[in-house]
Amino acid sequence: MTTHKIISVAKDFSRFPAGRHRADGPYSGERFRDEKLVPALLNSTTVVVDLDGCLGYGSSFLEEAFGGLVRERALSFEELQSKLDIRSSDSSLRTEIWSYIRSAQTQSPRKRVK
Amino acid sequence: MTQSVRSSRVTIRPFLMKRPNKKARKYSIIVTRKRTWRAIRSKRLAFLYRFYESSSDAQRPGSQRSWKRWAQGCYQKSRFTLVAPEVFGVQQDEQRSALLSFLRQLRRITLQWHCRVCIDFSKVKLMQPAGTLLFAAELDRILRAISGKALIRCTYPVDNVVEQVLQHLGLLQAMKRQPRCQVSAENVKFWHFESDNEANGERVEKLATEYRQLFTDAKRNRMYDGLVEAMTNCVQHAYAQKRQDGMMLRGDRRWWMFSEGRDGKLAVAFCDLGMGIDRSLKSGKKWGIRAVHDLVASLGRKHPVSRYIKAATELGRSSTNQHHRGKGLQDLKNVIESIEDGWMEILSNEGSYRFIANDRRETLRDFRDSILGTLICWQIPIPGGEQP
Repeated sequence: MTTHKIISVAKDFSRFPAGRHRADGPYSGERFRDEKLVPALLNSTTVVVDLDGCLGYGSSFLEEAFGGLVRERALSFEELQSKLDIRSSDSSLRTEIWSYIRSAQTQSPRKRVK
Repeated sequence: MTQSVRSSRVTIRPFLMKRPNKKARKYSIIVTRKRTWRAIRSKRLAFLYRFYESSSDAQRPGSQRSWKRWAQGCYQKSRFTLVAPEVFGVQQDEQRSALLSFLRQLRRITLQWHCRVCIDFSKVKLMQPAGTLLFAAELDRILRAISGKALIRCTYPVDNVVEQVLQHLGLLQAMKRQPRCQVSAENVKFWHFESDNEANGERVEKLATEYRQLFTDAKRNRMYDGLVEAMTNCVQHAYAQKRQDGMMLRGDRRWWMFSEGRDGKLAVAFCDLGMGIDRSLKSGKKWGIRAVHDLVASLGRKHPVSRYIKAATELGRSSTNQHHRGKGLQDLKNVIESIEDGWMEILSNEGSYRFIANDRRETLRDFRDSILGTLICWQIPIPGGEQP
């Protein structure tokens, strides 16, 4: 059975994402990845991340949230290509996120997804 | 067999005494303390003399011989008067030296000597945003360190605009002075002041509400991106090592921000009191020492500090092994480049890097004095020239 999950960053997380690690601030990329992205990817067939509605995204947030899926959580680029869909009115955001995921693929994963 | 007696600092040689006893140990402690106090007192006298030299004629005693008695009297009563410089600025040599010397004395009197100080604002004529932000940040840091003790007071400024600036930013109230004037000056009332010790995007909400075009443009002007990256950089890297004044406060990774929209332009100044960009890059924790060294070497040999600032704006572009690191200062520069108008200036320790978007001009400059932190100022046009 295919399951479809939509995550709106502005509604389900925060309109003000900022920072890389949890210690940096309350709405960091690491927190978004661990609390929203990873559970959705584990429990759903496809995950759509809607980036509209936020004021903006720092590169640190995006890299840790999406690049960290490969680097920290050992998901492969191919796996994410089949499961993850990023929606944004700004196409440069999608390009930027996929470039982070592709770059993280070159580094060895640290731990497996539990 | 005789044994040497070891105090915490001094070792008494064995042949001076036959056996260890309590009196000898006590003597060694007294000797150590006297030597330490003599060293401290001589340093204090040197500072007091410099303080005397920098004081105004009205504050000095009648004869020069009595400077020592006067200065020691100030110290014993634990009360100093510091005269604030005429211009609060960091972009010109003389203004910068005067302001940094004033801040240095303020830190020493309050944080090292724990003495009371009264800041005399009567001579202040002009408060530029960067210099005012640096003063506000230092004052905030000192007040947090002394935990609300009544050590800092001030006199009311003579210049009305200066008084409005201090009142509008809450600095008068912080120094226990009642606000008494109405903030009406055009170059004061549009200032906003924010501060936090984490990367919190909600701090930008007020700015985003007032200047919607800059934050909700479909082309994504990246104003918000640049601001949160500045906060993230500050929180992650700026306080990794002790500040060069040697008075690091534990757990305090604070940043301060000014913003002002006027005459169709938005100016933002961002400040941290950390170790500075050059020391952060030299530590190699973010980008690797080799990558930094290679890039800095390619920028020439002039400007030993400011070329590190320029390198920091370039490191995100260059190929390094740290692909996953955020681009920090590059994001800030992208804000200016994408709008193709405005300018950005980064001051860190002794260095200064200025970038003007129109002609892509870069200017590097090294000063004599260090601001002991990082100041990032940038100005961009507001679409439609809207003002709040």
